[in-house]
Amino acid sequence: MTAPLLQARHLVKRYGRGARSVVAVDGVDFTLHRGEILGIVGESGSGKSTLGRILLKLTAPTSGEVWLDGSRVDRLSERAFRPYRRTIQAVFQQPQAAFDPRWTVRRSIEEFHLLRGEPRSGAAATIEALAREVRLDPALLDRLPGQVSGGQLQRLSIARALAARPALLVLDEPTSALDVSIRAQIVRLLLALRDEERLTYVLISHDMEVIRAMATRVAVMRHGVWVEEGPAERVLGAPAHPYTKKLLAAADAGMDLIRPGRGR
Amino acid sequence: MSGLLIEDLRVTIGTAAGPVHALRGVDLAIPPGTFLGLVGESGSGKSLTASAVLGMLPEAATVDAGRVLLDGADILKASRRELRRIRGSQVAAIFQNPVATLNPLIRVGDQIAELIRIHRGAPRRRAAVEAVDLLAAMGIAEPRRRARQYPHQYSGGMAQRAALARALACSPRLLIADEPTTGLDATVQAEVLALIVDRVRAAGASVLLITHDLAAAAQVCERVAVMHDGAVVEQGPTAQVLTAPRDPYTRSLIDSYVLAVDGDTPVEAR
Ligand SMILES: Nc1ncnc2c1ncn2[C@@H]1O[C@H](COP(=O)(O)OP(=O)(O)O)[C@@H](O)[C@H]1O
Ligand SMILES: Nc1ncnc2c1ncn2[C@@H]1O[C@H](COP(=O)(O)OP(=O)(O)O)[C@@H](O)[C@H]1O
Ligand SMILES: [Mg+2]
Ligand SMILES: [Mg+2]
Repeated sequence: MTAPLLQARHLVKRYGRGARSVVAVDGVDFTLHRGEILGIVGESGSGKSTLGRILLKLTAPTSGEVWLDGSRVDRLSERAFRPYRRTIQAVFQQPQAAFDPRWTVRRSIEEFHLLRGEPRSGAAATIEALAREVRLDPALLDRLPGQVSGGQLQRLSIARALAARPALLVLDEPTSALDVSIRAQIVRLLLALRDEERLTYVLISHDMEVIRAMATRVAVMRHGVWVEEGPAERVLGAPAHPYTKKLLAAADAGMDLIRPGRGR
Repeated sequence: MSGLLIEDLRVTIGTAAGPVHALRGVDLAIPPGTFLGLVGESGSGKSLTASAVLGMLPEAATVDAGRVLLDGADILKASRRELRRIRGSQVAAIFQNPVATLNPLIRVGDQIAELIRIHRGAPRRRAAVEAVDLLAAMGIAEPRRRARQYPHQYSGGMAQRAALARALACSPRLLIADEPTTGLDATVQAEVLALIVDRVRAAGASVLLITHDLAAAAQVCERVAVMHDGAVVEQGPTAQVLTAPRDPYTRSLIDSYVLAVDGDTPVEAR
């Protein structure tokens, strides 16, 4: 038996102290195996991004444990955690955040590559291969972030994340800033990459259509708590919790007119 | 003719990089009392079309051709003074960011009362009472207390309710709603959309609902128009446009909107 790729054990995150404190994550437990796509849905403020940041070790949990590939990592020093930075990478809603506006995107990705202790030789070829992997013309690498479209920049931020050859990607609203046609392209790309690269995803989104298209498991988060979790078909097809039903009803309103229009 | 009729609207915008032909012949009709959904990707010209109807095109814009007829009168020919009267009483608007739409320095109730006084000449006291009634009609709890608050004290969904109250204060014949629910939570979106439908139907007005959310348009609009690259490529009854589109661009827009079909496997590489 191989260890699960990721485990969260009773994670709690409290921001602030005393009466004004906010419990953003309130006791979340889960186990994620390789190849799964865990979709986390919920309305804004429900704690999805905080949970994602804890998994990425960008935010320390108030209590609870994170296990990556069989080792406990939440208490590790930055230095001790460094080897795991390869294993777990992130893609965010605003791809601009992943790039220095003054540098070509090639330089940003290269910098990232070197930071990880990779040799400079061969970097150019590696980076161009990554661009092709995300279905972009390598010529775009020589532009500034402001000179490519939002969809292209999101592909580049995926390329940047893949540069580390990770096993797990935390995707926090990866399509929420994009137009619908671009959203579809990114969803297809992520699904193809999962198979090609044998990736596992934690997919945070308030977009039920994206969750429906990608997730193999779904967790519904509200006020820091997972109110419901299970296989995607079950949670989306036969939701048990009233809040899940409400979210699905809101997302599905109007879709009946649109869905049958698409030939199978 | 009453209602809204836009004919061959062509608008160029001067930019540092040269002129941008932003609207390239927009044709659009909204019969009185109906909802039209205007859908299309960002940059296609939806908001600019709305600005033209509000007589609020940017400074750098030039109208090269076309007419925008609101109940028979051409907005593009109206004087500033006429525009001030038309805005509010004939056409009003709500936008994506309601907190920014409302004046941050004036109490919410006062902003609404001021409009009622200007457009309808109502006395101060009566306008204030009507403003509170309007907030209540928009489903805002404790409307008297809320009327005395500033916009930043409102949540996003509540601010959109207040913006709708202000837009409807002078009984416009046409409400322009430009991405009114974008950025709100799904359940709040549904509530705000239902409120717009309910209040506008009660007033017998018509709506230009600009949205990238095809499902929202499908849900509440009798007619849908699809915009692409500065022109309306297709418009017609909602069911027809969405289930049997004639234009290939409409087809591709719908296909990309629907990522997964119920219970089916996720999108395959197409
Ligand atoms: N750095 C922070 N400091 C204080 N409170 C925060 C911080 N980040 C998030 N929060 C609060 O934690 C809660 C959950 O936020 P978040 O994780 O961003 O939710 P979501 O991603 O589901 O919208 C919210 O109440 C938010 O205001
Ligand atoms: N004030 C402006 N200055 C320069 N270009 C503008 C301005 N407003 C709109 N445009 C351009 O006009 C086109 C249509 O914009 P807009 O109507 O805002 O699109 P949409 O609302 O469909 O996203 C875009 O190419 C946009 O860049
Ligand atoms: Mg978030
Ligand atoms: Mg717009």
